[in-house]
Amino acid sequence: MDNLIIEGSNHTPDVNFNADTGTLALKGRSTPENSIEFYRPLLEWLDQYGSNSKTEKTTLKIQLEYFNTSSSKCILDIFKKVNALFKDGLNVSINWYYEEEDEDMQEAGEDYSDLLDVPFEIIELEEE
Amino acid sequence: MAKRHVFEKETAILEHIQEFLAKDGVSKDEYKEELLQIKNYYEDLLDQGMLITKVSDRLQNKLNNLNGKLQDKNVELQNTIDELTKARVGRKATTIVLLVAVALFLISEGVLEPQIEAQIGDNIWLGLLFKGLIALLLKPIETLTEKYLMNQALKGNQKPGEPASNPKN
Repeated sequence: MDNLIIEGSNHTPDVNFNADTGTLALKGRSTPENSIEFYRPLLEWLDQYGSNSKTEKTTLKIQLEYFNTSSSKCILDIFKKVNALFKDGLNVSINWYYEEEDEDMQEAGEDYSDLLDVPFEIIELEEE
Repeated sequence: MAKRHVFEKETAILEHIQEFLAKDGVSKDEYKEELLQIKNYYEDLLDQGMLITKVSDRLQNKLNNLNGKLQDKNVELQNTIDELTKARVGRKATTIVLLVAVALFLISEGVLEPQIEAQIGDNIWLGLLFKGLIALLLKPIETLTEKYLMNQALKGNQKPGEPASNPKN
């Protein structure tokens, strides 16, 4: 299956969903004008990935500086898909990265993890 | 084609419920099963609503904090600009005062002293008094020059309709 790579912009995050390594990364800022238009390919890719995954482990890495309300709903939809993969027996986990001292983003991660069964790790990034 | 939105799935569920309600001859068991499904959807929707509200509030908070930091940085930047303007104006005023001092010294030596000597005779104290007076005038001249140049600089920096900033002295 093809990898999904979308270059980020000022309003959309970098997407690098690699089916070969099982690392699915979403990084940057997410404030698209129409969130569902941006996230639909990601959700569709995940649907395909569920039935075609060949990697031992899958990790969804989320590193967002900021996202708008509609993106928060789309991110939840992604998490639900990953959660469903986990329930289907796939070895999958989510890593939620936040910048040092960014308590709002840390707590946003905690809010998401409360709704999910999939292993969810909240990781603080140290400033370089 | 209608514009897609993030609640497409939820809208589809609502349409399904409406279709179900419009049906005739539905058994009690079918109603019960449908109600159970609606309960699950509602639970899911409530979780989503609570989460999205919480996350959205946190991000609003983050935005407010960033906005506050940005305003602080703007004040810092304005203060730095004012300090730089003040330093630049100070240097310019000092140069002008130095030129004025040289001019006054030359006038004093070349014009006033010969006049005094011609009128009153060789009076060293009167000559010193004039020079002292000129020296004492230098500081007020510098202050006035600096004030004038600062006003000019602020007028130059000021955008139309914006009140002039007031750098600390």
